[in-house]
Amino acid sequence: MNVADLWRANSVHRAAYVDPGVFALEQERIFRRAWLYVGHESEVPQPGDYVLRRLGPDEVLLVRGEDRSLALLHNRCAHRGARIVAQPAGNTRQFRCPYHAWTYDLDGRLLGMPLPEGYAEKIELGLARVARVESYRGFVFGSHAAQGPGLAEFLGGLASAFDNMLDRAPAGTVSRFGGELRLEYRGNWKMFMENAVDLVHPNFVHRSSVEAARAQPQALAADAMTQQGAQMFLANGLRAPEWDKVPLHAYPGGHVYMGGFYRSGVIAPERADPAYERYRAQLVERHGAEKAAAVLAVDRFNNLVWPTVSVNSRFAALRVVQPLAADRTMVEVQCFRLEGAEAAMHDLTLQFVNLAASPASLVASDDLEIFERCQRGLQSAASDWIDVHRGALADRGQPDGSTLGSGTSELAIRHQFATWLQYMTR
Amino acid sequence: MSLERWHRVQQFLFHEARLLDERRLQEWLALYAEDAEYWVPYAWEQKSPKDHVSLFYETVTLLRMRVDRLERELSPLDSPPSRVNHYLSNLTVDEHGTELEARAYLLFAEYRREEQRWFAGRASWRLRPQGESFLIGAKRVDLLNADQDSGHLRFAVPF
Repeated sequence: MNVADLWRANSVHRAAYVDPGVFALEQERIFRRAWLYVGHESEVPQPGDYVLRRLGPDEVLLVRGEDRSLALLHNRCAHRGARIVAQPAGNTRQFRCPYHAWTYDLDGRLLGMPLPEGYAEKIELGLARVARVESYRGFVFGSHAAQGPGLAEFLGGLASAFDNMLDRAPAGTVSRFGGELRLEYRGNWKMFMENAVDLVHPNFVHRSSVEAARAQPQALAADAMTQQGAQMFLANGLRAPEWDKVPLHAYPGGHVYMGGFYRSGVIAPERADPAYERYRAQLVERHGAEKAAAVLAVDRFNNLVWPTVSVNSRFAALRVVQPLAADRTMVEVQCFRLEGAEAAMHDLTLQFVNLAASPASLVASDDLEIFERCQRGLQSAASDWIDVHRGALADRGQPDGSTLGSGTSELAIRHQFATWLQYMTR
Repeated sequence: MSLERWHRVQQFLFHEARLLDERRLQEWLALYAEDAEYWVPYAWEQKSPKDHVSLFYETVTLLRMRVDRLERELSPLDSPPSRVNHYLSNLTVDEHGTELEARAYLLFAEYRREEQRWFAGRASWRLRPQGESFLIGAKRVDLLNADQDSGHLRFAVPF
């Protein structure tokens, strides 16, 4: 089957999720071309700092050089191919392969190897560099493609998600904290990106945690963590007409964001507690009253930078999808500290990640189960086509080139597949 | 620490394990003090749940929600219910003022449909003596592979 035939306007062929051949083609045509998130500049502040990351199919090192520039190097010795670094992070003056001791500088240039006289001519091999690396205000992306749009152009309408996170920091900068939570599911990577902006599923998939929170009303007067958990669980219990009012905004490039749906307590956009009042005052000091109000009024939940990033600027968290196989996906969840804000604001982020995104979360664990059920179900040839046209008649084009849909529309899935098809057929 | 006291702690922890394994989850919750914390760190030798992500970090009220949803059988995650066994060994008990600290090695088996998973780890409890028995003030489970590179599949039943 030709890949161009897998998507036809409002339905997708199940092969897009289950076929290993399609997955291999995605690796080549999407993950070796698109800008993929690799890390934040605060993770490698000093010369010699490095972190080990995935960039599509490859393992790479994000390195801060002696001149403070960023390099993105393949973690593969130029000699016999051994993985050079196995630590998730560290600081070094040079990279040395454990196999035959070939050594490289922070830019990946070969510094030396044993027995150079054994070679007929001088060897100039270095660690392979990823074609492009760029930082958008501290958020570092890499692309395996030498050609293509720059990062800011690629991010397009969704650069605003990173801008908003930075604007929410009283000092104007953010930094990583709290480690990284990784979870896995035995389903296709696209399911995560589709489900993150699917506002019909919460009422069903998350019913058990909605009911469980309703059964513990005293939780809303308990400690801060319990309160936040209860409020987050309860929020998934909106009725369909309320979900419908949560807007979906789809931008060129497959990017989509959804409006917020957290309405009460410490998770509400408009809070009235003392810690938040102090935080608001800090932002007014930084931005002035008008802009501070505008920054805090940005009420969005998941901001998806296609193909693999989900940003939550209100909770200063980021999720990165790592496709491992057609039926295997890892998700990395990361927390950011709003520099200048007091600890209560960071607690909010950590608790958001622990309670909503951990593989043990009462919310995320049900999503993971559903992905696995879809993957199992789609193995069946009972029907090849999956219909995703709910809400298509209500899609509304906007002056800025985006498309607006209501919360219960399948706009986001259609939009992601339109972009998917562009990459896959080019 | 008298042998008898050590034995009482051992029997108490075996009882806790049995309540989880037999899905007597309300009885299991009743072993916990109202201010107890249940913690499964994500990082090895993690210092605190307050500055780093965790797999589980829950108050008793949050645990009650976890139990509630398992009992209502509304969650697709636990349908059909998983079967679990908790194995405890290498138990040591130390006195800390009015509390005891128990430490043990933990093996955890979970069977769910066609798949069986195993986890190994180190568990520790803060126990408050209550007559002949105890109340759990805190439980922590450090999994050997908590931070494994490939991440974890979903969890339903506590360790």
